[in-house]
Amino acid sequence: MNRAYFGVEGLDRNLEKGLLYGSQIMVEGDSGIGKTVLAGEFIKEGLRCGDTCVYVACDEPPMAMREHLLNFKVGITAYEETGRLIFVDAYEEGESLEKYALSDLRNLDKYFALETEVLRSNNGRRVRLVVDSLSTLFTSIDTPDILDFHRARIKQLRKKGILAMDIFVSGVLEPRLVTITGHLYNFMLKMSFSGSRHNSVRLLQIGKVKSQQFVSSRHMFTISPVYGILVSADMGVSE
Amino acid sequence: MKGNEISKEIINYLYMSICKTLKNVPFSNRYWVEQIMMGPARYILEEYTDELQFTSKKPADVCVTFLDFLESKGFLVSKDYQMEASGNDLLVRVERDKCNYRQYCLRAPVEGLLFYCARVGTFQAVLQKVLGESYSASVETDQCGVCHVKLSPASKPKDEIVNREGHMLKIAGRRALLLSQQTFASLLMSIKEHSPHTLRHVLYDAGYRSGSTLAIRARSIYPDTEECFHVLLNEIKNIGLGNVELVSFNPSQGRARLRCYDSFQAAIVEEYGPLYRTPQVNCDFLRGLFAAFVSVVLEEEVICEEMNCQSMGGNYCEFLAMPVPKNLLRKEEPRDWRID
Repeated sequence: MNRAYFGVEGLDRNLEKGLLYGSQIMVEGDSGIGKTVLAGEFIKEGLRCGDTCVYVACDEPPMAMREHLLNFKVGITAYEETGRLIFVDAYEEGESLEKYALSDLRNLDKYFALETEVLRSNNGRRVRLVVDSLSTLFTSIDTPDILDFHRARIKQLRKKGILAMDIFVSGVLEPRLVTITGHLYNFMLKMSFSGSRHNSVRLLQIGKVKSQQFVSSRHMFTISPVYGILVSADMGVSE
Repeated sequence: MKGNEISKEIINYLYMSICKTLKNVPFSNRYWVEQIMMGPARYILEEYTDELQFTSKKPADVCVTFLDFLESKGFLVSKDYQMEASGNDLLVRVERDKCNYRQYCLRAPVEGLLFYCARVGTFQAVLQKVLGESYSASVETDQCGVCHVKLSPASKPKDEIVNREGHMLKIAGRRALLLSQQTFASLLMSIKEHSPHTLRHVLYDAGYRSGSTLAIRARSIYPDTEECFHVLLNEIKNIGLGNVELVSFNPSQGRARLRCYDSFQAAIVEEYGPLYRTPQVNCDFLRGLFAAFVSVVLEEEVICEEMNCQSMGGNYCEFLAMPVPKNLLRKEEPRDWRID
């Protein structure tokens, strides 16, 4: 069985055997840190590997990700026409012209049904799913409902062998909820700014459960308009 | 069998033999067959200068004079060829059964050989010599077995994309070199080792740049869009990158679907190991080439994606070239297709 990677060299180097399809990745990061860029890298890698990629746009219209991919010379038309790249609009509500659109942004049941429909229509294919960002969908929902939804959803994704990346914007949800939610993921990435206001650097913390213990390593990274995310050499920090 | 008939048969076999050999000669293609077909007429024009008196500058008269000369030598019957001027073009009709080269003409396509009408080559050589002008030609044979030839003044003299000038090999007028797969693989492995994140970008851009140079050159020689595109795809085979099949081509929509059998990049993966951590499409150089070909030929910015790769277990690599959606196109300076 083939393993999956993010498509970010410095990050993939730390994954050893890669990720299994059916794994769930949690990406949590500051606003403007490059979470969507990471999502774009993940999708580009998936397309090259023959995966079907589903992108759920919650924070911007799907057109923003199309433009982003196009800037990296990804032939989105070819992939969309062959059903290998699918956009779900969870941003524009009633105004959306997309084939798949969420009609009520405050209803997790409707989201669950829509996600299930999209995944069902791609049964038998190897699928990558990115929700950018899941925290936006959760903002006006009560915690118990979020946890019920989340458990059921992750269970379904795992059962269907979906490689999922859920993005969370730091500070949007209560820390306790993020912690509980985080436990359901196989792999976690934290992206944050560090340093002074005038000399900030981007940091990427890679975490995973290994031998029943959570281990992580921290890396500096930059964003290149040509190559996307570039991770610098290991900083040697572990927790 | 009369001596003249066996001589004609030998000529046909000679052409077939040449084309059979050319099929296996690197860089050979239709252009060189065309040059070979023009050759005999050039020699005759030189050797029989005294007997060949061209009194008219009309293309039809020039060709008739030459045919009359061949008739006087017992090689053909001049009136079998019907000439008609149509503007600047010359239209020629002949029944294939009456052509000396029918054997080569009928058998070459069946045997999968390169083919170029020997009679057309004769007319081109004569017109070029007498009128000082190059003519391009097309031939169609109807259901009754009548060949319809159209000779038109060429806007630019034909030249070959891959050529040899003295001891230098040239592609599209620029110096070229022949690399073994091993050498190319070692370049890729070095990039992978020193700068893995750049590998696919380097290959795509290198393909795009070199493809643009080729396409610009081909465009200047072949004004017809589809002919130009076919010539370019043939060049890919010629220079050893793979055997490309054009599955569909829609110039008005800026789209093309191509298949490449035995892509050199897929072969590298098979022989020297994977370029990436997990199986994925590999032929970024070809992807760049195709994108450049379509972009230059159609004068529209196109992106090409490899949808399936032979290195992942398929029988061929498949590529889709499609225009960049205009509503998402950033306003940038027009791309310079040439290498600075």
